[in-house]
Amino acid sequence: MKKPKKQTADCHDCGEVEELIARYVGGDEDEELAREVLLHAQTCGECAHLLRSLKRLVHHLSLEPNCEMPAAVRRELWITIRREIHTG
Amino acid sequence: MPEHKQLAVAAPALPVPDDELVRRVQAGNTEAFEELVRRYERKVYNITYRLMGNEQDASEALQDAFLRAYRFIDKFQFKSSFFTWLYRIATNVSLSKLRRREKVDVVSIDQPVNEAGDLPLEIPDVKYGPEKLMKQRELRAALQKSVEELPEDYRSVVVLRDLEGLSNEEVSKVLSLSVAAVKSRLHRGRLVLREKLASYL
Repeated sequence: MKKPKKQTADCHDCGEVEELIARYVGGDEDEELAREVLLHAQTCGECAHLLRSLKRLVHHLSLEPNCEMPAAVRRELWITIRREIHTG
Repeated sequence: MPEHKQLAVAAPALPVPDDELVRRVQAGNTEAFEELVRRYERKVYNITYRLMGNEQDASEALQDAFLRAYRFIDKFQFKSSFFTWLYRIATNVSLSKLRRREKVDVVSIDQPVNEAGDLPLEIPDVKYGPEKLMKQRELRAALQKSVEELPEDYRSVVVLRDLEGLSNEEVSKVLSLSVAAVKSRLHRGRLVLREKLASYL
């Protein structure tokens, strides 16, 4: 595994650390990855911000409620289904 | 002395497994298909709505998905779970409709986002009260809009993984992708969303 770069002016631009952070947030359970990402985030404000914001994004997405299926949509669906299965 | 009757409490019937319902449909039992529709109509609508972005198109995709599932259920060979197979049909139907729609739309979903129009204003840190509720509604609207504007490859993965809660492995089966490709698209999609929703996160 590539090690994240130490804090430099361009660490956020090269995309390399972003990729590692995204893997970490995405649930990659590689312990070395987690250690390196967290270590890097302690020394790099930009990457710490990226890490926090990605975690919040995933959290917000997971909280999104299901869409309510409108009654009219359900009615149309059942008309179509019953027409298909009863008349072929 | 009043007579006490022993009330017999019937054990709740276990739901019939999907695979058994599918076998019944394959044998000609239409009621079994109706049960499958009842079981999955809301979940499939969620997928079609989140991929299509509006009720009319989502409704058409929902109907098409179940019609195709019914017409092709004889082809289902129990190599995957029924819901994976159904989600795959729903995703393919939605993406196919989306491609046709984009061909006639003047504005592409890949067109760069108008910064002034799409990036929300900085949100003050309000913990309680109607302001917070309003901001939460704004965030939800911004999330939904940003997901709709994701490129198709990223959108389908984000919808199935982050919004519908499927595992990477399930998404890979639904979309016929490798798990590595799912992870890669998910990462890219999240990075795009994060950019668009920067002021909320």
